[in-house]
Amino acid sequence: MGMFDAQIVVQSVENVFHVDESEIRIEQKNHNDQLF
Amino acid sequence: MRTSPTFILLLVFPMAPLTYGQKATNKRSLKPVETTVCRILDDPTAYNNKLVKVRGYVSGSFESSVLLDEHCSNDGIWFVFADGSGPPELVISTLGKGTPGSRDSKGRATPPIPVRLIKDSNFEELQHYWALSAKGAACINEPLTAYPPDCTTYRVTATFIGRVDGVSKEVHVAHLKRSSNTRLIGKVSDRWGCLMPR
Repeated sequence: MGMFDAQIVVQSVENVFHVDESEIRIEQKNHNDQLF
Repeated sequence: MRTSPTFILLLVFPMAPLTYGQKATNKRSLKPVETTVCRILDDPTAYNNKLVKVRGYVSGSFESSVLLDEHCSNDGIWFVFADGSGPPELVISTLGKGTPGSRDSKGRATPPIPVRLIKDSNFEELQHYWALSAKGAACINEPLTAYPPDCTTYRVTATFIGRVDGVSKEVHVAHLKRSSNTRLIGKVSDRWGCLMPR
């Protein structure tokens, strides 16, 4: 990485999608259980 | 007095190519580059002062707002709306000493690409779930106002179109030196875009 990070100055938003984060945690846990 | 249709055509025809040319130029200059958060993080200066289209999920706190990608989620792009606002949790933000924009091949300063926030239904949907999520996250630390408490938090993903500005890494250094409820200690960015608490 160089001297700079990036910042985005947002002018518009499209295709918004939301999901309950507890569902993501459950999915991650199931995925990890399958791996080990 | 009647005007001949041929006369009208003669008047309008020479203007048509000029008008078309103007539209084509505007369209070309405003078309965003489709890329990813990870690619921008790999080489942020390559995207400086460029209009980009990226998909990612937003994460906010009282002092920062970041756009993340699950393929490189250890780092993110600083995030701000074109009207200067940020996520609901953000307490206050400030600009560094620098100005957005870039330099051409001869080193001359070029102005930043103008961006203006479009507050449409997509923007409102993002704000709505971001605010709900902030409320859910806060309910863990605050006195209960409802029973049962709703501590649901959401991962809100969207496609964002906006201008990329380079932000000095000194912003992060300054954050590390800051203690809670104090102003930044140390030099603030020579570029812009530093967020800090009251």
